[in-house]
Amino acid sequence: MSTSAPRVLVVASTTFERAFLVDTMTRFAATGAEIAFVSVPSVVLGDLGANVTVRCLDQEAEGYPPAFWRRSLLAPPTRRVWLHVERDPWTTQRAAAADVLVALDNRSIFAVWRLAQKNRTAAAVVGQHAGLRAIARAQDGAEPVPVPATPASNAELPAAVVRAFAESAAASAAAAAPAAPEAAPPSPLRRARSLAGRVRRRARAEAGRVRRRLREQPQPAAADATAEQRLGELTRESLDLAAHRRFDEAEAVVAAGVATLPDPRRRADLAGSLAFAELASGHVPGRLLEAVALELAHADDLLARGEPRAAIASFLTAMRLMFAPGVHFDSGRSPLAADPASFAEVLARSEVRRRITAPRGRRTPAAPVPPASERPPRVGVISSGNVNFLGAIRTRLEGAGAEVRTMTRTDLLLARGFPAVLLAKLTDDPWVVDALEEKLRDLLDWADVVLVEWCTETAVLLSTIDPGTTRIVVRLHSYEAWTVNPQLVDFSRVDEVVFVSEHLRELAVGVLPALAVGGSATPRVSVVPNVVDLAPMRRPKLPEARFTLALVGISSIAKDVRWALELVRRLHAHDERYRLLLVGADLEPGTSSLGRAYVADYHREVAQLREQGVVEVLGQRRDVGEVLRRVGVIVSSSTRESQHLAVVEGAASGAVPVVRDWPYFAGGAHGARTFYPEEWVAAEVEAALERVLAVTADEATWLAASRAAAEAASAWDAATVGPVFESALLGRSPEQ
Amino acid sequence: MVHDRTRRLLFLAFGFPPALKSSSYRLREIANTFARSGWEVTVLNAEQAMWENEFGLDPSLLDDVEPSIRVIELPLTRGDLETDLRSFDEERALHPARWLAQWREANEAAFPEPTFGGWRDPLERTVLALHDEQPFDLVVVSCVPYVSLAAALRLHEERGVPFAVDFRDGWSVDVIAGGEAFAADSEPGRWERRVLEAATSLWLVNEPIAEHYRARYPELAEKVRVVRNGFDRGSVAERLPEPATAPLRFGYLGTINFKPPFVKAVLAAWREARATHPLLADATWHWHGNLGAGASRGSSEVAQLLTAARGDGVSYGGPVPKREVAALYESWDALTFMVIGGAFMTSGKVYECMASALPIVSAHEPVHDASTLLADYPLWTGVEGLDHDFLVGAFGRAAELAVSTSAEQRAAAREHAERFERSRIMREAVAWLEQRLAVGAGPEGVTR
Repeated sequence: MSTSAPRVLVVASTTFERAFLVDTMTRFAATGAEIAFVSVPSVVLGDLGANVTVRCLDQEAEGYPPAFWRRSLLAPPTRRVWLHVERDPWTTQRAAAADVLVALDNRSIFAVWRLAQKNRTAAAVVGQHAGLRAIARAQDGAEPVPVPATPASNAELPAAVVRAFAESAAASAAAAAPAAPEAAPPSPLRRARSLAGRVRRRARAEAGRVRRRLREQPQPAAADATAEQRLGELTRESLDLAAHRRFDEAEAVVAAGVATLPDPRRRADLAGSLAFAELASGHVPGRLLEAVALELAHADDLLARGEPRAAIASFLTAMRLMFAPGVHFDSGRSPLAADPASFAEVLARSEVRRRITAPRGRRTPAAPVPPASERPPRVGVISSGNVNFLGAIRTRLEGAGAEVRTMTRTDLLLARGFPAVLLAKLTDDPWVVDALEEKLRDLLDWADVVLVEWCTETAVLLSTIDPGTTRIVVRLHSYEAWTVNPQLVDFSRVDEVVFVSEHLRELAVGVLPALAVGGSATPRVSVVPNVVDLAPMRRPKLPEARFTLALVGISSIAKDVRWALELVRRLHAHDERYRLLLVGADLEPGTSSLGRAYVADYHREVAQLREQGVVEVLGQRRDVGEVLRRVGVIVSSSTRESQHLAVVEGAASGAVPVVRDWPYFAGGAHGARTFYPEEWVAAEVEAALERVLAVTADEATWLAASRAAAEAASAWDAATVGPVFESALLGRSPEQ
Repeated sequence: MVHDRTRRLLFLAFGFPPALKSSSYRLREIANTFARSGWEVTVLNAEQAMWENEFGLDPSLLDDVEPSIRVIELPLTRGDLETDLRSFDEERALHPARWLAQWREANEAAFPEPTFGGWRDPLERTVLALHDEQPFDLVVVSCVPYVSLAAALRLHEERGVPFAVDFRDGWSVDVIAGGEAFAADSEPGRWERRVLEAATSLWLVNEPIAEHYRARYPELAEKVRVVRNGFDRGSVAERLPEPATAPLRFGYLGTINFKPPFVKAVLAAWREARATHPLLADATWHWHGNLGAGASRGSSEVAQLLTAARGDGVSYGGPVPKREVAALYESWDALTFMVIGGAFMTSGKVYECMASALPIVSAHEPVHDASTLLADYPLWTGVEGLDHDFLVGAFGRAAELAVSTSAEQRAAAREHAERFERSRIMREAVAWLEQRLAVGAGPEGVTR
């Protein structure tokens, strides 16, 4: 029984609905306890009162060195949470002093269990309800829901029942004891399982012996100690410089030091430690690819030494660095977009990757989809959650009589996790093929064609098994090009890759040579814009439209909403009638230091502009067509886009488009300037300002521009683009 | 029939009050009816700590338990519902899903029921010990758990005590997906046949399930009786509802065992109905009932969806003590009746909903046993599964009914439900069983 407010540590490691977390923490806080809420995923809960503090461990982990990621990326989810928790003194100190430890979900159980081994007096429970009960008990020993005495029940169990339970417990203990010599012989099935178990155990023991021998071979201990000492010195020196934001000098220390280290692991450790630390400081590493290449070399070394599991962990560590969201999504510029060939070159040198993605091909080529005159096509769709771009496609297909069946990423989830899939591919372990066959074969046997919407893990999983005679089409929209997943797809089992725009195709082919090699193992590549029904957008404008700009969709940093804020700020200075509507879910909290800095700046700016009445935040709206009635100018301020559907929808509504020359593609042959009419596109804010002022100069000018935009938009209407997409999907000409 | 002593009933009723379960009301009514019929009733239940770990307790359920009933709460546990991490070993903490799978497998080694199979041995020993101490004349088993059947069967086989099965939703019928739950030659299939051949009678909650058993065991058809659930008089306000005024209050009371896509679908329809129907502009929707057990109690994905829908006037208020149910219905203007399953499922809540005399919006499979009951209920807005547009319209129609229904229509609605009053149903069922016992293997035939 505690006289002061109980101290409570709550650990969560799955992504809960924000409103639910706020509600839960509010209920915990209402008990009067002091709550330390530790979430592995980033959360923003707002002000929950003085007695609640929040800590996000993935933010703390951003700068952790490669050794941490090599341990954690392949660990079971429960252990991964513990690895985060044990490294964080803020958390472990509060856990040691807590009266109640709560795991809010199954994944957090092990971490809380471990914390409870150190703090032997705290209550340790799992679940929200159990947490609240434990707090109540810590406060005054009372149950929040008093357990009633059953009036009609016996206060004490009848002696007969006590005896029965005692006999049952004794019998159960006897059954659990080692079998007596005269026990019946095991059944043939049990004998077979036991034999298989022994074989597996022997194989594991032998593998362990090999690994130990290999580990024992390298350098003499003295040389090892010297190298370790050297690594320590160089790491400290470079990190110290980085901490003072002297990144160039830190990188120079690493560049020079790498050559002095004798083995791949230490070289990867030195370069990777600095690169991760730079990311955590909100700085894009200047020698990112060198660090990645050193980690990949370490992975290959591990593979050569017979340690495939460690090799995969190292490979994933390299991929985490190479495709860090902070670098490509949150920094406003992407080294991959600037130089895809260098990324491809580094990846091409990785033996681990080569082994994972070695083209397995298919035993039989895809059968042609039967012509419509024979029977309607059967289309399987596997989506990765976001189905925003499937609606019009599905409507058209079903309208034409096609049968459509869908699966989601959740349907394909494997209990062992995605890294285990890669390990299985590396070692040719058949379990993964068996598991995926079970999940996918029915769909593959039924469908003429399977469309994988988004080139994510789903595409990797599908390409892990031979699709038989079913045609496989993968659609890559945009963000996937900056992730590792397309790098892991076996494209020899894909018949067609559809890109939404030419500039995305260019980028993807640049970083994915597998799409450009040619021959029967290379899929056909096509470019078809998104299929969207524009009819609901065509509605009469409201009088306010001419001076109203809109940005539809602002939730990711790639939308660069601050660019649009700058535009409207300048317009408003010119004429106070100009306003900007922000439509869609709010900007998500960044997962990187770079992202969080951007989000903080955005919130500050938008608050100021809202106060001035320059910006109106509408949030998520189901009926975008109705919102667009207020809009005279549709803005695309993004750093990267495949198409930016909102521009097309806005244009169809009669809003005049102002499209930033998306910087990720501005230097290439294709980009916003080639996708849209050139006069829609503005290189900088200044040019956008001039365009808005020009097209809204007077009512007649704006009306003329509005009509022209609506007319131009018809080129992307479902009626125009739909047949082209269906042709790519079904692998036949639109007339068939 | 003349008895030289009071007849003694052993009632295996796991989930008996104060456990807060959807089955608790039925179990209470069975025990009360036997007690009122002159039987000396001994109820076997699991201890309260276990029910607290599951859905919780409702002390008010004890209000109406006949004082003569003796309740023995056995120290049985469910390891899967344990929330105290200090009772976990490292392996369970590290691999909770693997532990659960192994625990279920171990339970099934004793009896083919993954959650309760492990209770078989202590349960069998208990019923034998209690009978040997003071003999019973009849055993009634209410399932689930099915493992209770093993105990009743053993007592029957070793001591000759007749037993009756309150099978409720049955076992070999899949009430969720429809069809057969397991084959006749499977382990549970063999158990079911053995038990039902020995049982004096079996009760089922609706005609489709009863028909399944008549068809599966034609030779046992005469043992089968439909004993529907019903509504408790105390759960319904005596006064009929008045025409409502905005803001309208919709309510749902019942077990929230829906999958997230189901909840997303009804919430989406509610959101649109609220945005488009003037009567619903400021309406609220209050969900009550059990939501998640053990560690997931209060934090399931569905709980998250409901919390996130707060902006749409949706709230989740937890389970409601039995003695507050009537007042809760009185505070609402319309109901949502949501239930899983299809033709084989009824749900006990439908009777209470109908007795409320409130408009009802249905979200369930159109071919559903509840539909057959609701079809003649005058304030029903129909059912078309989870069809979005239909549900949007149904919310609107229910709102219109809430403000416009006359006192006569309300009275007709209440009258429609009257035949499903629970004590009436149970009196008839117990009398039928007593008659069977008198004719066949009654207490006189018991070997002692």
